[in-house]
Amino acid sequence: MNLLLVEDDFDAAKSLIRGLHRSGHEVDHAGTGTEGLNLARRSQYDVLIIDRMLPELDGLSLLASLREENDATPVLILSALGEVDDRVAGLRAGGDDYLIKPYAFAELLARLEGLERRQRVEPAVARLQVADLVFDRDRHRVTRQGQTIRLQPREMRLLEYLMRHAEQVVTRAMLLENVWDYHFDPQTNVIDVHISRLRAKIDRDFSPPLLHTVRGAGYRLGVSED
Amino acid sequence: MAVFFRTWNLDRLQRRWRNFLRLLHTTVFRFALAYALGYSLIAGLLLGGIYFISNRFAHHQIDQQLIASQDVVLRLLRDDRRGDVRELLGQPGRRLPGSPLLMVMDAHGRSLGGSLKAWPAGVPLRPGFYTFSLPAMPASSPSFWRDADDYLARALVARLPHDAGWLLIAQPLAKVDAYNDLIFSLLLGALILITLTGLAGGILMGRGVLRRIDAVRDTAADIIAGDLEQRIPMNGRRDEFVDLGEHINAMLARIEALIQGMRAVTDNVAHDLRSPLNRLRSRIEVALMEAETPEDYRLVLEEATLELEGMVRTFNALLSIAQAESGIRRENLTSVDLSQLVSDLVELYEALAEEAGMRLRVKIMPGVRIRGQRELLAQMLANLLDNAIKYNSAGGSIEVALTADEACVRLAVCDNGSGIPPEYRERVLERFARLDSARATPGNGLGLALVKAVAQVHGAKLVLSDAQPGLCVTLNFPTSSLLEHLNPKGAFRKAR
Repeated sequence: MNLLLVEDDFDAAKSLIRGLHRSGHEVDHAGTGTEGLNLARRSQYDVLIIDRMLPELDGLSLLASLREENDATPVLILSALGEVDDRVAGLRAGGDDYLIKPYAFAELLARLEGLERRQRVEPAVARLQVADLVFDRDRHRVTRQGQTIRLQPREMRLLEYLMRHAEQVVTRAMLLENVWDYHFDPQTNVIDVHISRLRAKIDRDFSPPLLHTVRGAGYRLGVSED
Repeated sequence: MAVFFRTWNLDRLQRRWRNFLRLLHTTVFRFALAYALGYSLIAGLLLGGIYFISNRFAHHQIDQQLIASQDVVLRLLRDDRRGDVRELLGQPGRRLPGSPLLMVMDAHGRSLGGSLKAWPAGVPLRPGFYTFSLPAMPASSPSFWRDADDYLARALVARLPHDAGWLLIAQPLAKVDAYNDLIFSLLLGALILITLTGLAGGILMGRGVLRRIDAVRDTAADIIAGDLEQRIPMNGRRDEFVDLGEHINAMLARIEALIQGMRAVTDNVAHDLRSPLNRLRSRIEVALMEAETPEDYRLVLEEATLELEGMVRTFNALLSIAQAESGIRRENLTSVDLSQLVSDLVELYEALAEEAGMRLRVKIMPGVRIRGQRELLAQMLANLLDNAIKYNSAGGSIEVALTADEACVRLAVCDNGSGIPPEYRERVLERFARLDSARATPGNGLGLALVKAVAQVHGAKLVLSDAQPGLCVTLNFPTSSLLEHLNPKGAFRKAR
């Protein structure tokens, strides 16, 4: 991915850029809001990562300027402000996702990929397929190797989300936000139980396994093992 | 005198003087002063008018008396009743009104008699009224601020019949002046009295108000100095000051609660993030000394990451509690479908409960809405369900019930686990409070503290009770302010 990071904390930016490079992404870095705005105007990025508190031009104003210029590049907002109101303000200003500092790098990476994917995948597509697993949205039917799998409504939504983000790491927080539509810290492994139930239904009687646990990050639905 | 000086030392005098100066600057005193001046002005005009009219009247009276006396004397002279005239001229006749002074002079300027020895200077030989100075003091007592030679008299001059000479009848003005002086003194006295009363009233009222205001000021000063528990003393009658004081006290109580909340948070942060920081630091330091292989380092770094994750979690929970405790801004309150929220979260946690071998039973009244903050309510219920599962054992059951009636919306989460002994039920609501029996279970001791804070901000009453066995956590949300409406399927609509 081709990314723009607008972050004034130089040390944080440095390690973030290293991590993103290692994950195979290209990153441009801007230290101030105006510099970020100029870079964003000049070239085309897949996702913008914008810190909220920036010198010269704050993150939300930068974002608002871009949106006014009909720039629809997906934006991930980083913020040290964690209250619900701030998240709402960030998303209202045109942000596509919101991540509160301190965050896990895996979480950031998963969300970046999620945002890029959202751009590419047609959301209204009715039929999703990963290997021999098929999700037919219109008929509310899931089959694997031609056999129908009975799923609860919530399991359907969970599977749909995972399939839309196939071959991509999805974190627990992303699942809670997108499948259950809640933003809170569930303390326990409440999501894991739902995943293992889903896994029991789609993977137990079939091979190869499709729903993988990614250590320290979350889950990935896909054919590849790693 | 020595005692006097000791008590009235310079310091105290200075303070008194400063207080007096402050008094002069009070609004009430200024109002009183302005009113006193205004009233004095009006009273002065009024009294001046009275004085003027009464003075005019007195002079008019004298002129009338002089005319009447002249008539009598002229008639007597015309009738030529010499005896009577002699008697009249010899001494001021008692028969004439006002007992005036008399003087009759022939055409050659010779005195024919009268109580005046000579024709007074300054009075011309022409009929009419004149005012002249009396050469000598008459017997009447002088007024204290008037010199004797000030004595004036009013004279009426008339021609005698057949051009035989001149008649002068005069009345000293002393009596009139004395009367005028008396009235003037009275009026002046009244004026001074009015002014002084106004001033005194102003001072008294100003002092009264100042005393009440000083009570507020002193309280504020104490609070500024750091004593947050100070409150404005409430005594005396119910008036606007008591009313204001009550409002200020309520505000102070709220602010104090907020500040104490903040203090508690910072204390907690300092105390409970220090130990994990310490663990983290020693782990890293030891690794720097001992670790040799990349695997060793990797292990330590992974442990450190887990530790950090726990700290971030604790930190976030503390912030959520602080946010809930500081209240939700009105514009961030929305109508939350509590029925939907409860069923969502039950669904989320049901799998976990079943995995742990517990039964989760639910009874949800549909369409119950309250005004609130959705994410906080969700976090609260998640904490309750999490606890219920954590402190229950396989084979146990958990019951979640949402009911509503006209008085309140009631949300209850009960389990049949180990429960909480009654004496600890208050304490477990505090931050980082963990029962000894719970030490082995993972958790940061903030779950119920957040429940309490969220309940508080939504105006809900939180009750921990015995489920025999187990714990029952009940939240009673008031319907009056929070419940908007129930759909037609619900048991009632909000009473307006």
